[in-house]
Amino acid sequence: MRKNAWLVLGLGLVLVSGRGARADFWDIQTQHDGSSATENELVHGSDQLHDLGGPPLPDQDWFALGQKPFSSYEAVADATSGDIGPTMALDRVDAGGAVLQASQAVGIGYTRSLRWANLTGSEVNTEFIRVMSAGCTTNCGPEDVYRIRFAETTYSVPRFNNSGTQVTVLLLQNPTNYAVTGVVYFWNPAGAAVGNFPFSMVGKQTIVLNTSTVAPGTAGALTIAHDARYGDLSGKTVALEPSTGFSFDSPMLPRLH
Amino acid sequence: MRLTRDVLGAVVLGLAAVGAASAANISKASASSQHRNEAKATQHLSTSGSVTFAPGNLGLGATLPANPALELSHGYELLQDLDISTAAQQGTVADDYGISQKPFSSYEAVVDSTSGDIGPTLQVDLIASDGTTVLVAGQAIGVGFSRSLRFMNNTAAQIDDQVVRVASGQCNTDCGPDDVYFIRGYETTYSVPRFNNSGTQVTVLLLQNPTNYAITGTIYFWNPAGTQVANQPFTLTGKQVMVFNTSTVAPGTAGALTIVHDGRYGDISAKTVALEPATGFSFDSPALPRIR
Repeated sequence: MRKNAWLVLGLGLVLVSGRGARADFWDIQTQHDGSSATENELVHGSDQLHDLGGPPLPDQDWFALGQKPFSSYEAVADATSGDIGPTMALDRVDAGGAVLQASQAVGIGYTRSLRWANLTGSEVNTEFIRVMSAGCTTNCGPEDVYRIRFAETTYSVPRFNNSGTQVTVLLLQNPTNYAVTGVVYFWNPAGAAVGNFPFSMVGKQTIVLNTSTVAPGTAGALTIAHDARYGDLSGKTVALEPSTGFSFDSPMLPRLH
Repeated sequence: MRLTRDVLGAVVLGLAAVGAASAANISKASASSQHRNEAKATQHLSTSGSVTFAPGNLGLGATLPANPALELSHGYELLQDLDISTAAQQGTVADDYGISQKPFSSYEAVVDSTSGDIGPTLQVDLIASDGTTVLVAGQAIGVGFSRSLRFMNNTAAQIDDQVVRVASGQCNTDCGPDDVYFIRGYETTYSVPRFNNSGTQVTVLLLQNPTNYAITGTIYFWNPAGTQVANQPFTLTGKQVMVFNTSTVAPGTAGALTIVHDGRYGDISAKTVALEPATGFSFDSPALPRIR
């Protein structure tokens, strides 16, 4: 046992002496990720490990991203080590570095979540995610790491039907302890927008929406863009056909990854 | 203080090296383990094809076996590089991933997290058995540094002789182990556990494309014995919904569905509704992709 301990110690010393000054993969390139010229992109399901070590210090990590119309997103930075955690900043910024939106603490403060929705009918390809830390201005190294994850948070529901005598009710639950805002979009079978319903819910609130008040006399499907964390909302539609007694449930699901 | 820190660091590095060396002895396929606890995930995220980094020590490396076999499967994830800096890697400007395409199934390979020279000219293609013909080319997902490759096997035969090839036009001469990408593999086929067009019952399929791009595919109808009884091709533009009376293609029978398509993993939303006018019963069955 004692012999093994010395063996491990010796191996560690050998490795220390032979260790290169490597930072994270995206830092050490000529075309590095320290500005809006980054060629590292976050997409649905992206999952990366970075550091905020130099040189040079302070280090910043920039991530390109494409935002689709009527869609919502979340970036999470966690698994912080060393000096990063307490003052880590996870922001959505423009190409010049101006902060468009700051993230929020998820728990006790070392982990950050940044959520937003693109509620326009156009793609947005000119914004970036930036990670930095006030604790990493002078002495951070490759051991000061964090993990970043990215997801599209938009939900979909494959059916609503307000044709004839049928009426569809949307049940939208916020099971969390924080407020959530968003928009329910109504699409007809051809994919054209036929209505939308902005909403705001406090923690634990449930909306019971008669969708015939928003999209009367038509049918189709729903998408829901919002500022909650990935997978935090729960919901379904129920279509009722009084003339036959039929009822139809349709689940509300986020994009899996 | 500095000395103490270095000694402690050495011990930690030594311990990490043991772990890294262990990781180096496993194949890349096993590096795609789906166990996602934090410790493993962190180590996994810092493992490239030629270098395995211990958590928190991105400067520590151990070499993986040369030219290991690479195979994509559902849930596969790997941080890999396009390193051509060693003699063994000279002339190898692409990574080929074998994949077994099952009958009537669809797949996706996603490549993102590109560093250095890889991104702008990244190519992710499905290559034919001749090793050169591009059968399907990957598409940009967002601003252009990431690629998604989707393909379908609509035949009844298993296809094992095609590969997914990852390459970059900027990695022909000077890419090193720091030029990395992250690759994920998915089977994208959906399944619906029930349709029933027996007697007076009728089943309607609702198939939603909630994305902003067009999706094509085929719905396969299987009877309870597993025999294919019908199929229905479809094309959906962005946000379109298909309301399909399944009794028009599979009348007088019941069973289950699978849906093969060229959308991204998890992008489609769908269900079937079976209606029994005689009793007033209705039955919903969700369409689900394979969970990872």
